[in-house]
Amino acid sequence: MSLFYYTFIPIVIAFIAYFLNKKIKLSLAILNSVVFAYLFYQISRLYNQWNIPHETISYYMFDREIQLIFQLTPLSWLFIFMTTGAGLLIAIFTIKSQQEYVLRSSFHLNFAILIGSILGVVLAGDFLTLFIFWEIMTWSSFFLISSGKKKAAQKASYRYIILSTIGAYLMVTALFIIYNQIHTFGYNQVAAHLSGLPITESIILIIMLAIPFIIKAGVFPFHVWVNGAHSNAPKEFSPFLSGLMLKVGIYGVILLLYFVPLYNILKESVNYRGLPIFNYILAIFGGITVITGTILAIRQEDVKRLVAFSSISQMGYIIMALAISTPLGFTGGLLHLMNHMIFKTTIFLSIAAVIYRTKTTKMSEMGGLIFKMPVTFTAYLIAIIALAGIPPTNGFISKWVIYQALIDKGYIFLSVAAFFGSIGSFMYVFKPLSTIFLGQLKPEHENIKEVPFLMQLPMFVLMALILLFGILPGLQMNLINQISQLLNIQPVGFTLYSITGAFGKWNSLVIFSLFVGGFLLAFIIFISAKKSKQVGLMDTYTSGEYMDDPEAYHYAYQYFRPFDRVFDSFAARSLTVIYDTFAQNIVKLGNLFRKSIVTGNGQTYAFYMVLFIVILAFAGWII
Amino acid sequence: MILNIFGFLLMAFSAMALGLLFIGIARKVVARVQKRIGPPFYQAYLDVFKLFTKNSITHGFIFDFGAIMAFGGMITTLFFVPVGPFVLYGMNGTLLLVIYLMAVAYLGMAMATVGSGNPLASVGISRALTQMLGYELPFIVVLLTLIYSSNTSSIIGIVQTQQSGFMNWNLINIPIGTAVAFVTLLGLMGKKPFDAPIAPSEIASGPVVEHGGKYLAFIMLQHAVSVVVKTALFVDLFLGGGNNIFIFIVKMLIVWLLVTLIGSIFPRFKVEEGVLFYWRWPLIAALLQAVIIIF
Amino acid sequence: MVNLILIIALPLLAAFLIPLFNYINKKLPSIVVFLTTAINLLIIILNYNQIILEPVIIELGNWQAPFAINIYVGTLELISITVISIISLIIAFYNLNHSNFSSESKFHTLYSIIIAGIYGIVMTGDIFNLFVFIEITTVAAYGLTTFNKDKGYEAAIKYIIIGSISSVFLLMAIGFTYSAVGSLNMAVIAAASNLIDPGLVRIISLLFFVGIAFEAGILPLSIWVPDVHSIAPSAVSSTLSGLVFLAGITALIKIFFNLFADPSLYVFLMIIGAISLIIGELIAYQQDDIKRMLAYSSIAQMSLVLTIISVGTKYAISGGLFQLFNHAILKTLLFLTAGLMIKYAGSRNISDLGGIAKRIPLIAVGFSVGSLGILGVPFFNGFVSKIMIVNGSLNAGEYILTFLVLFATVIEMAYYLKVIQTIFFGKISINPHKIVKSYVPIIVLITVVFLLGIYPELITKPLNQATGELLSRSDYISNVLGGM
Repeated sequence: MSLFYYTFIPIVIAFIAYFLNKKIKLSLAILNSVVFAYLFYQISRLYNQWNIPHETISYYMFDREIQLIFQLTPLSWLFIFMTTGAGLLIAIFTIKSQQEYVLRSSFHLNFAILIGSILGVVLAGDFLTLFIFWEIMTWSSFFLISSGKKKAAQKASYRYIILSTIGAYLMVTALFIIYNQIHTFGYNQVAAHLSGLPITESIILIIMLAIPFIIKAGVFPFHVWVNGAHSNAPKEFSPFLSGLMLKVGIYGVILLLYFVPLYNILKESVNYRGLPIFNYILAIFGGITVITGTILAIRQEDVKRLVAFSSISQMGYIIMALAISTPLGFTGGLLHLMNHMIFKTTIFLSIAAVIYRTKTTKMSEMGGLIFKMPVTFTAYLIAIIALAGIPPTNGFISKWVIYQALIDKGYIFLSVAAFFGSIGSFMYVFKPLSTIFLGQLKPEHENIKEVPFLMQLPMFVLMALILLFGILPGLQMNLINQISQLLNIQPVGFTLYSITGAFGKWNSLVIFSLFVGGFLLAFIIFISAKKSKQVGLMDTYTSGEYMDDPEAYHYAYQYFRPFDRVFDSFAARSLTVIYDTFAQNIVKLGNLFRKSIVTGNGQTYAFYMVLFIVILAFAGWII
Repeated sequence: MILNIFGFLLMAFSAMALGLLFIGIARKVVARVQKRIGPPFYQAYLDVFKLFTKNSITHGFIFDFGAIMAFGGMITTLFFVPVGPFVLYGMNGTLLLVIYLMAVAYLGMAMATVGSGNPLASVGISRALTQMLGYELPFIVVLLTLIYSSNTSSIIGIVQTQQSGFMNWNLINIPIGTAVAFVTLLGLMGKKPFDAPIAPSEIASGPVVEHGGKYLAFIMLQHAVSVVVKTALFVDLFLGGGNNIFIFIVKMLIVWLLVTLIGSIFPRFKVEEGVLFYWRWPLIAALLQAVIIIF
Repeated sequence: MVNLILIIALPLLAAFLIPLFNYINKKLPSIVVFLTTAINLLIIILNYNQIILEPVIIELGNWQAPFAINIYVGTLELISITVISIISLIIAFYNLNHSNFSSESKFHTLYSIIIAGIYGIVMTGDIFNLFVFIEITTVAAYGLTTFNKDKGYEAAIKYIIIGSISSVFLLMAIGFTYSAVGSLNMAVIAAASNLIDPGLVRIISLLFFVGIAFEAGILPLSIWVPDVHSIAPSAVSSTLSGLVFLAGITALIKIFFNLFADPSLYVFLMIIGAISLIIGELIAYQQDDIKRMLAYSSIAQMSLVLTIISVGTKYAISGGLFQLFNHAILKTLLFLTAGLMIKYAGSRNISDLGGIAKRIPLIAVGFSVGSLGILGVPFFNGFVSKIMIVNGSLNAGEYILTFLVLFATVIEMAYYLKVIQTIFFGKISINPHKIVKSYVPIIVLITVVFLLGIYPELITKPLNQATGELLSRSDYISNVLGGM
C-alpha cells in the first residue's frame, strides 16, 4: 500500500464517517477503530522493509512544480506504529466512554484527521511536506482540545495554538530563507547547504528550525501550554496528547539533530566538555523541565493537571538523554519515549475511567475506589510503578540507561535533576493512588461499578506491555539499534533480556526472578501466620472518638502541604504570568491605537488625510 | 539450584536475626543514654514472636498485599547488597538498583498504610515521601561521585576498589562525601532529628498506626532487614567492605551505634525544615565534593 | 469573440431599466441583475483563451489611440474580472431572496451600478476614465450604505466626506498629469513619464495614492471602512470589501508599476502598508462586533497586499496578487455567513453568537472555512498565497517585513479563533430568529476555496504571466501604442 495512503485514508474516512455518524450513533468510533486496526496491521507488515522507494506528489506552487516526498525509515516506522497503536487503543476506549458526550462526532472527525496528519509528519521526506502536515496536525489538535467540556478549554487551546504557530512560523521563515538559496526542501540538501554557511548564520537557522519542535515537546520555557491543554481536553484525548503529541516534537528534534544531520554542523561551533553548546543548553533546559514539572506536579489538586505536569517532566528526561548525543543517551531517550507512551497512556486511561464513573477530576472529592474499580486500580498501580522507575517494569530500564548515560559523562546538574525527578515522582504518583483509590469511600460513590469491558481492554493490553518490556527489553532494543544504525550512531549491545550500559550490564530476567523469590518468601511467612480478621475502613484508631463521617477521615486535600510551602514563593512567579503579561501588553497597544485613531468623528478623518499628505511630503516623498 | 534457594533462605533469615539483634542493642544504648536500664538486648526477638501469636485485623486486600510487597521488596534488596563476602548476585549496575528496590519496599508499606483508611497513616506517608525527596538529593550526588570515581556502578566493584588497605577506604578518599552520606543515613533510617514520618507523639506513629499482630511483626522484620541493608550499604560504600564477616559485622555495629547515639539526643525537625536542611549544607558539601572529584 | 465593452455596458443598462422591470413584477429586478452577472461571466469565459495569448485593447468610438478612450485587458485584468464576475454572480444569487432588501428595486439598481463601476476601474486604460468609474463606484456605494436605517446615514456621511476630499486630490493629480503630458491615455503617460520633471512625478504619484488608496483599504485613508462595511447589508459589505478593494488595489498597482515606475517610492509604500497592517490587526482584535472585525481584517489584508507588492520582485508580486484574489473570495464567504449568523442570532456581538454552530452547521462551517483560509491553513487557498508571500519577501531579503507579516498573522489568528471557538464551543445564549438558509452560495464558495487550495495552478499560471507584464512597462506601452 502506498505510503501516501496511510496519510490520507484516515482523513477521508473521517469526513465520510462524520456524515454517517449523524444517522448511526456509535458508528464513528467503531469505524475509527476499524480503520486504525487496519492501518496498524499494515504498518506492522511494513517492518523491515526499509528499502521502499520514496514517493512523490506534485503540487504546483510559485512558478514550478514542488514535490511532496514520503519515505519510510526505521525511525518513522517506530512513530507510525506507536501512533496507530495508541489511536487504536483510544478509539476502542471511546466506544463506551463517550456515550453522553455531545461533541463526540467532531471529536472523532478531528481525531482521525490528527492521526492522518501525524502519519504525514513522520513519513515526510522533505521539509515542506513536514510543514504542511505539521500545520494540519496543529489545527486538528486545536479543535480537539477546544471540544473539552470545561470552560477553560477554550483559553487553553488558544494558548496552545498561538504558541505552536509562532514556532511554526519561525520554522517556515528559516525554511524559505534556505529555499531561496538552494531551491529545494529535501533533508540532505538542506543539511549540505547549512554546513556551507558561516557558523553563526547556520546556528541561527538551526535554532529557528528547531523551535517549533521544542515548543511541541513542552520543554522549559515553552511548557506553559501543556498543563492547560491536558487538563481541559476531553478525557480520552489527554492520553493521546501526553503519549504522542509531545513525542512528535521529540521526533522533530531527533530528525533535525541526527537525521538531517545537523549535529555535524553544530560540532563545528563552540564546544563545552565535548558537546556543542546548543546541545548543552538544550540538555540544561531538559533538566530544568524535569525539576519544574516535578515540583509543580506535587502541588496539584486536580488529577489531570498532575499527570500533565508529570508528562512535562518526563519529556525533560527524553530531551536530556537525546541532547547529550552519546549512544547510550540516544538509546535511553528512545526507550523512554516508547515506555513513557505506554505507561502514560495507561495512567490517563485509568483516570479517564475514574472520571467517567465519578464525573469529577478533583482528587479530594474521591476516595476508596479500589474496592469498586479493581481493574482500574491495578492498571494505575502498575503504570505508576513504571513511571517511578521501579523494577521490574520497563520504566526502570529506560531510566537506568539514561542515568548510565548521564553519569558516564559526569554531568552533575543533569544527573541530579534526573534523580530529583525520579524521587519526586514517587511523591506525585503516590498522591492520586492514595487519594483516589485508597482511603475512605465517599457515601455518594457507593454505587459505582467497574468500567465496561471495552474500556478495560486497552488497559489490559498496556499493562501486559509494561511487564513484557520490563522483562524482555531486547524486543525494543532490536528496533532501536536499527534506528541507531540509520542515524550513524553506535548501537548499544543487548540480548533478549539484558542491556549493556556504561558501568555494567543489566539483566532483567535475573532481577525478575529474584523479585519473585523475595515475594514468595514474604508470602509464605505471611500465610503461615494466623489468619486475620477483616474489618471495615471506618474501624480505625481514633483515640476513642466516634467516627461517622468518612469524608473527615480521608486525608487528601493538599496532601503535600509542607513541601508546597517550600516552593510557594516560586510558584507565584510562574512563567505563564510572563507570557500572559506580554500578550496583554500587545492588546493594550491595540486599545491605544483604537482609542486614539478611530474617533468616530468625520472631521477628524478628513484631518487625517491632510495630515497624511503633509507627513509623507516631508518624509521624502516629494523632494 | 537447590543450593541457591538454600543460600537465599539462609541469607534472608540471618539478616532478620541480625537486624533484630541490632534493634535490641539500640534500645539498650538509648536507654543507657537516658539514664535508665532498658530492655534486654534480645527484646526484639521476643516482640516479634509475641506479635506473630496475636490476632490481627486487616482492612482489605490492599492492606495484605502492601505488607507482603514491603517485606518482599526489602528481602529482594538484601540479595544485592554484599554483606561481608556474601552476596547473592553480584551483578553490575547494582547500586542504582538497590536504591530503587528500597523504594519498592517503601511503596508497599505506603500502600498498605494508606489502605488502612486512617488519616494519620496518610499523614505519615506524606511526610515520609517528602522527607525522602529531601535526603535523596545530597545522597544521590555523593553516589554519583562515588560511581564516577570508582568507574563502576556495582557495589562489589566499589568494594573492590577499597580493598588494598586502610588508606584506600572511601572514608579517606572522599571525606566530605562520607560525612554527607552519614547525615543522609540518619534520614534514611528515620532517626531523630529526621523522624517526623514516625513522630510517635504527633501522629500516633504515623504509618504503623493500624498495623497490629502479624502486620506489625512484618513491619518490624522489614525494619530489621532494612537496618542490615542500610548499614551494610554504608559500610560497603565508604568503609571498605570486608572479607571477613566478623569484621564486617563489627563495622556495621559501629555505624549503627553512631547513628543511634546521635539519634537519641536530638529533637525532631519539622518535615519541611528537614527537607530544607538537607538542601542547604549537605547538598552544597556534596556538590563541592563532586566538583572536586570530577574535575 | 464578444466585445468586452458589454461587460461594463450590460450592468449599466440593466440598472437603468430596473424601474421599468419593477413596475412589471416585483421580483424581476433581482433576476435581471442575476442574469446580467451570469452573462458577464459567460462573456469572460468566451474571451478567456484569447486574452491569455495577447492583451485585448478596445478603442471606443473607433478613434485611434492616443486620442481614444480605450479599454485594456491584459492578464492581470483578466484574472481580476474573472474573479469579480464569479463573486458578483454569487452575490447576485444571494440577493435573489436572502438579503433583507431583496424586494427593493433601488437596491438592485445600485448594485448593478457598482458592479459596472468595478469592472470599469479594472479594465480602463485611461486615467480620466478611471476617475469617472471611481466616482460611479463610490456614489453607488454611498447609496448602498444607507440601506440599514439606524446607523447607515452616519457611516455614509463619513464616507462622503473622505470620498470627496480624495476625489479632489485625484482630480488634481489627473490635472497635473494632463498638463505635463498632454494626454490622458495611460500608455502615453507611461511612455512619457521619463520626460516629466521627477519632482512633479512624485507629487503626482502622492496625489494619485491619496486619491485611490482611500478606495483600496489603506489606513489612515480608509478610516471610513469599519463604519461603512459593518453597517451595510452583508451583500454590500462583501462587494465593498471583496470587489471594490480588489479594483482599488489593481488600479494602484497599475499606476505605480506601469505609469510611474519609480523604485524609490516603493519603500514608502512598504512602510505605509506595514504600519497600516499592524494597526489594522491590533484594532481588529479589540472588536466585539463581528462585521467591524471583518472590516478591519479587510483593511489589514489590503495593506498586506500593498506591502508585499511594493517589494517589487516577481515572487513577491505574484504572492501579493494571489492573496488579493483569495481575499476577495474568502471575504465574500465571511461576510455572507456572518450576515446570516447575525440575522439568526439577532445580535452583532461575538459574545452573543455562542454555540450557534449546532443549529446552523453549514453556515458556521462556511465561516470557519473562510477564517481558516485567511489564516493560511494547508490545503486552503490562503496557504499557497501566504507561502508565496513569505517566499517573496525572503527572496528579496526583507526580513523585518516577513517578521511583521507573520506577527500580523498571529494576531489575526487570535481574533478569528475567538469567533470560531465561540460559535462552535460556546453556550447558546440567545433566542434564534428565523432566517432563510442559503446554501448554494456558501457551498460554491467553499468549493472554490478548496479547489484553489489543491490546484493553485489554476490561478498561478496566469498570475506569472500577469506579473511578467507588470514588471515590463515597455511591453505595456508597445502593446497599446504599437498599433499606432
